[in-house]
Amino acid sequence: MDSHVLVLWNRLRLAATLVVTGIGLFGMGCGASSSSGPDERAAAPPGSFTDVSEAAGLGVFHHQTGAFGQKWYPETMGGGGGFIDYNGDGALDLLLVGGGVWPKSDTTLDRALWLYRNDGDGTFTLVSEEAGLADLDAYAFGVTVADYNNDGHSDFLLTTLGRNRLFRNDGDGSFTEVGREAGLTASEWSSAAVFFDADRDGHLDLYVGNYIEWSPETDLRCSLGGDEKAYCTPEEYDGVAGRFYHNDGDGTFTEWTERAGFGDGPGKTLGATILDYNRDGWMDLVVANDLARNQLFENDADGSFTERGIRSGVGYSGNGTARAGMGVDVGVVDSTGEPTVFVGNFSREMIGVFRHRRDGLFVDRAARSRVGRPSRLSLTFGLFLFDAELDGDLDLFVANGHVQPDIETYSRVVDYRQPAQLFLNNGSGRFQPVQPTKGPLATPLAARGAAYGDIDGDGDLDVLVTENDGDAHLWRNDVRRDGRGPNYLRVALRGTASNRAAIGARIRVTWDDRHEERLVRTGTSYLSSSERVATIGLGTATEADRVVVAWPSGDTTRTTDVAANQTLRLVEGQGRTKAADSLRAQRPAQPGAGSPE
Amino acid sequence: MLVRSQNALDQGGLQAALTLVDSATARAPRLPDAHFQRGRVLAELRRFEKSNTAYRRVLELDPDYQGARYNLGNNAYRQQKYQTAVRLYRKGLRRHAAARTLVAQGRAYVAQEKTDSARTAYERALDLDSTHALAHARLGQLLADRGSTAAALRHSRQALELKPDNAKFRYAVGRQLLQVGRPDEALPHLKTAVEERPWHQGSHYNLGQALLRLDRSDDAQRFLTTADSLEQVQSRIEQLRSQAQNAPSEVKRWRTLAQALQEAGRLQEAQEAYSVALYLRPKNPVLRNELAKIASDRGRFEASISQYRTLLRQHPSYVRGWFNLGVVHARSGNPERARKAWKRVLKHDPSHRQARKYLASLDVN
Repeated sequence: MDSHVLVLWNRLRLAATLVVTGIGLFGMGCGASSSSGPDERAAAPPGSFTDVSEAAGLGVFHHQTGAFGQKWYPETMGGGGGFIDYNGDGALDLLLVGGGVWPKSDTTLDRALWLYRNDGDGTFTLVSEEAGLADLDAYAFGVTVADYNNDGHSDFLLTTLGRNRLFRNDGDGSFTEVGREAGLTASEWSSAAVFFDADRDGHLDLYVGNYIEWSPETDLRCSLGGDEKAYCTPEEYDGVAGRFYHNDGDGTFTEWTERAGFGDGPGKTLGATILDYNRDGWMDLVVANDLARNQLFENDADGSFTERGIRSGVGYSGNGTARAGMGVDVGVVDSTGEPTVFVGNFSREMIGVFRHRRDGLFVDRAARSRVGRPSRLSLTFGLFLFDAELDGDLDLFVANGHVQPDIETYSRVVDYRQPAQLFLNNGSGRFQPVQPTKGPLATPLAARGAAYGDIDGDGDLDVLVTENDGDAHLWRNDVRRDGRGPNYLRVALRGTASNRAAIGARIRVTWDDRHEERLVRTGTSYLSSSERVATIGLGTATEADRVVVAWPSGDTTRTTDVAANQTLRLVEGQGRTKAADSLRAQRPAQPGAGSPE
Repeated sequence: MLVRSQNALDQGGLQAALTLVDSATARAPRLPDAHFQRGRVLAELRRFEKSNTAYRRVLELDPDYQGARYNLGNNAYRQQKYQTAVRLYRKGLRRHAAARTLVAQGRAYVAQEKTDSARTAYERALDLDSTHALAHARLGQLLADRGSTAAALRHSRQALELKPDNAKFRYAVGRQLLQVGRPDEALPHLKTAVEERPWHQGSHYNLGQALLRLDRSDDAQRFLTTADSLEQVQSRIEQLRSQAQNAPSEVKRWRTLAQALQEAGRLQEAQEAYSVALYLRPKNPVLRNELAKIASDRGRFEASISQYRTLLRQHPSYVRGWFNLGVVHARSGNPERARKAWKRVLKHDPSHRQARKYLASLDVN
């Protein structure tokens, strides 16, 4: 990279940060270096989002808790949402969880699932009915999107207060609920779910995290000190351990919870995702639990697991205490090349930041990462890592909101509605919170779910945030506008010997003297599903020198001299298939005509 | 009377402490010290509004009374009224620039996440008194939370040098050494921390982590397993504490909390919880018996005997009280008094086997 350009870009970052904090210097000097490079006059400040929820047509959506004065525990949990290209047109559609109502109440549920088709012009159309998702009766929480049957169409699992629902994408723009016949018959309070290929047989297995034993009949009366009933917290209830299902490759699953080593656990799970911290090619699993120790399941290289949460250092805070683990994500955020696990926690608890040390042990870096202190008053549910500024490194986004609507009565420093937070990574695993005075990141919310995806095909990552008993918020990332801004590379994979969605594939992109790594994964955050195409910001670089993909099967694909600002599509065993200027250019004429996921 | 009230307070006799101080204020209503002591006792009972009234009375009588505003600030802090606490500490500082007030002010700033102000307060405290161990300790923790590990460790070490017997300070040094990747240096501190507070899960956990980093896996596993068990106990205690504080008039909650603390070996805290319960049910023999037992377990035999005497005055036929009184006398090296107590047991319950056995052992010896 031209070192002069790098200096300019760094200066841009500084200026942009100052704009966000209200000391306007942005736009002074620093012209663009080339037509394909970033245009600094047009680029928005890093962390600059525009709320496009209304314009997109999401205004009618409202998450329902069903609350009718009983203050039943599930009413605090909210619902998630996510991105799914359900019709294979290359544009990300939106899937929102509508919540639930109680049989005893007079309230009716508008919809348990809200599917919005991306019309490609900034608007979305509600298509729940035509997609066969309108008649679901459930108290629902989270969605996890994956092509579990390797047919090229994105399916999803919906976690609920009872039996979870598996929606198979029929490839014609509609879904069929097949959970029961697929073998997912357990009825319990489930939360996080992760599809991943535990035994590397090419089929996606499923881990379902469960929360607590609760029913209206066993509901306890909790209070915050007054006579009024308050929402309970998990220590009052017994946890329910998660379940693991092996994918039999014929559209069905067999429960292997005990056999695979998931039998004993504290439950109270609210977040889970995969990682491969020992780099043996076998996917490990990290599970975030609410007031119970977090778990780290190390894959024994045969699809069974050994739990190493306490020993590894991920289980507890640095003081040896369990915290209220919620959203979780994992990524390489510094030059060590080792993964760091981030876990959202309660107010008065720092976000957990655990970096692997290369020997199975993790170091708590909450303080040194600079994430700890600024997160102490926030109650973090949604949490994910993404490259918000397209500068190459992973930044941290967290969605916050308290569980007690009247918390201000009892606490003078913690609010019910809290702004989301964006922590920008300086490249060495140290983060700086963006602190705007207006805009989406300054708006207090009772946030729960959070996910990212490029809804407009401009190369930067937009954000979806869901609220408990509230709206869904779609925030357009403005770091690239009208084709200008920092450069990027998106990498979309299709497995052949590996699972088709390439979940578990490791992508390594090298440009100039630096490299970045992404793991294709599901789970992450809280009850939500982000897109699986990997987005790597290249800053001012106009091409990547090398892209290497390590597939779950063990195969490797290498390609060199990849131009910036495109989606690189790689098929396992075939190398590069097609380069496109944007996702939109790839869109087939008819919905349902499959394209690589 | 005030001295006796203070002694009673030290022994967990909150009811007695309050009775004595009430008597003192009745006799000398314009004596600030009496109202000050009343404020302290009421604060221990979590009767913060009444405590505040007492402290305000102190200030009416003597606007310069040292400690009144500080204690008002502490009450506000304990009620999570952090801004009020800061304001009260500030008022106190205008009259008396004291390091301890600045340290308390720093703590209230931390609770509001105003860490720059907190740091300034701690540093001002150290400007006033560079040997203030708690100021060093709190500043060390603040810096550690902000990721300034080297400076944090420097202050934490200074705190420990000033108060080498402080288990919390030792744990902080051990933990911070581990965090900066010096497990070998952390090890002795954490070992001592475990010995000093065997109920403290953080000490066990960090010792386990230090041992792992020194390739002593088997030893590490032992401490990590204990930490896991202790964490569950700790979690339960915090839940009970929260329930008790949320309903401070419910004696059952304080008793349950006290029992959990007692079982965990946290005797000082158990004594405090039993004291509150006993204040709510001053004639309850079971509560006073437990309080007396804790005093004995802590080696405070005189306080224990005093509690048993009060108990047996209230309930002269309470067999368990007589039996335990005998045990405490025996432990404190007074076999003849033990004999008398155990004989009283047999008077009320001639079939009491343990009393017979102990009496027999006295005769043998």
